[in-house]
Amino acid sequence: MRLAVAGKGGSGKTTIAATLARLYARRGYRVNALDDDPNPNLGVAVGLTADQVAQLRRVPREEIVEERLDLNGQALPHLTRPFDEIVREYDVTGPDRVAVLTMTGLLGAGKG
Amino acid sequence: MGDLPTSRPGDVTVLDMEASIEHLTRGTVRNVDALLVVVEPYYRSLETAGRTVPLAHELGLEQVWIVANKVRAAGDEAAIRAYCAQRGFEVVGLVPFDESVVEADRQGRALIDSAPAAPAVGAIVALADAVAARLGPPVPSGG
Repeated sequence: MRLAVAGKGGSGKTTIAATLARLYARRGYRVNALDDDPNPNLGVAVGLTADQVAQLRRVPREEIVEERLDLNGQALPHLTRPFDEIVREYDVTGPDRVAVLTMTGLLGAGKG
Repeated sequence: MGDLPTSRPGDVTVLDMEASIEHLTRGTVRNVDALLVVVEPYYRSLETAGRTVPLAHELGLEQVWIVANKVRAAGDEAAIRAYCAQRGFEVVGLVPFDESVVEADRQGRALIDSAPAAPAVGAIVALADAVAARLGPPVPSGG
């Protein structure tokens, strides 16, 4: 189950996303919480400590993603490594074992 | 972005997205089962959702749902539901305005840790139920 949560800044999307992550984790799911926001606050909202937040490294685009053209000639970013590997390398595990990753700019159009 | 963890039974990915709708792309939505668009009960927030929902559909994402947040009064809820009904948007959750959220932010803590019994948390529990029911994930792996 892959959910995206969108909204204007200040709408509360991060609180909602983070709380959903913790709730699903408590129900037994293995939860990855991905932060694509330019102001990455998902870690704090999930419940990471200040030390854990300091450990968060933005997943480097160059290392992970390469552009490929789809059938329509559109460039689509793709992972060059299995996602599980990326999670293991870059995640910081928070309460209820939610894995938090900062991916600012990796999931949008034309971002570096 | 390709190859986000697929819908393996027992896995959940929650993606906190860019606020601006220009950053929704075909590449993003192809890896998402559902998009929750969070709106507040005021005009500009609703209008933004009014653009985001059709854009997501155009990009091929069928399951796009509204979550009303920071709802203070019955009038707020009515306005959001009316706006959504007019456009055929489905509201899957309604979260009340809750000072506990402000306080958790102030403390730099997760809401669920700071105020587990807060009304907002209860509303997000209901949201989690509603989303899971619609997407029909299998029983969690327990991992």
